Amino acid sequence: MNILLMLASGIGAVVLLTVVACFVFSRQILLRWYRVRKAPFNDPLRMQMLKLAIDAGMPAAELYFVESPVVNSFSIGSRKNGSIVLTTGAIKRLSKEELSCMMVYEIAHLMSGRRLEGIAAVLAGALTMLPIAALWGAVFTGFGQEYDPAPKLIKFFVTSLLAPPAALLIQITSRDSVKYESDKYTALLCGPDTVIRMLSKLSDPERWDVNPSHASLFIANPLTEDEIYNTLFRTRPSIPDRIKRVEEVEY
Amino acid sequence: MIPKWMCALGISFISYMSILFVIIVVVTFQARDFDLRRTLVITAAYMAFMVVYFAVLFIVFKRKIDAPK
Repeated sequence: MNILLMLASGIGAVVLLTVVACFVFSRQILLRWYRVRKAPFNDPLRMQMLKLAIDAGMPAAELYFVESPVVNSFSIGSRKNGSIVLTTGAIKRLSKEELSCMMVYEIAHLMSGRRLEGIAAVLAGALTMLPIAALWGAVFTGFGQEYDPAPKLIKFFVTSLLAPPAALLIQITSRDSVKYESDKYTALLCGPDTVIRMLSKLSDPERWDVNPSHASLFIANPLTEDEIYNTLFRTRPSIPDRIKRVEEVEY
Repeated sequence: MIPKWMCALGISFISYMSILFVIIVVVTFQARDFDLRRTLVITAAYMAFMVVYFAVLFIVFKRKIDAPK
């Protein structure tokens, strides 16, 4: 009984520490998770972002880049202390105006505050990482190789247990109205045509293997719906729906 | 056609039921006796929690995922 009590208090302490760390360091954890690099001081995109932030009347957010061929971006933090991350794919494939649109969208998101979403993403992200740990645990304890059915089944079983609470956390902290408002704000500032061009480049068949719990932070859903549990993390309207709404904005 | 997220919840429900089976097996082995009444109490408490938990999941996902975007 004593051992069980000690085990329970140990697990409780670890969970409590994780929650506190997520509250305090959610932004830093997410930036490290994707191994982002900070934009150089004199980077033209950073200058452009500073100008956009001043125009929007908010303190300058920090700009980061992440290596990925996919056209996507995400933002985390609060209005006062925010970070915008652009993929290298977006920098290569979007025009200057479209990149501006992308940054305006992220600034609009930061203006409405994303701290709670960031904390939820880190907490839920820790849960959705456990199935991968279970897969490798199964591999190292002799259940077969990573492509064998047994470790895959163990991973699927752990996913089926942990994905619903993680998705619940993500769904209750994501606000649909903010997403529509950010699209509208971007269309008003950059013009609907540029936003539509940018959005159509986001509906790229190429997908990025990100943690499902972080998908709500991205400008476009980076997940494929081939995996059944990814559907629980869908927080964004489809790109055609967003384009339709942007077309209705009077510029 | 059942939406994918509902299928996912269905599979999760079955997985959670397998945990109940494991709990009953562990309790029975620890007591070295199968007590039907104790098993029924454990099952009733676990199922009550599961029903509430899945009802919350269903309502939230229905409103958030199925809602016209």
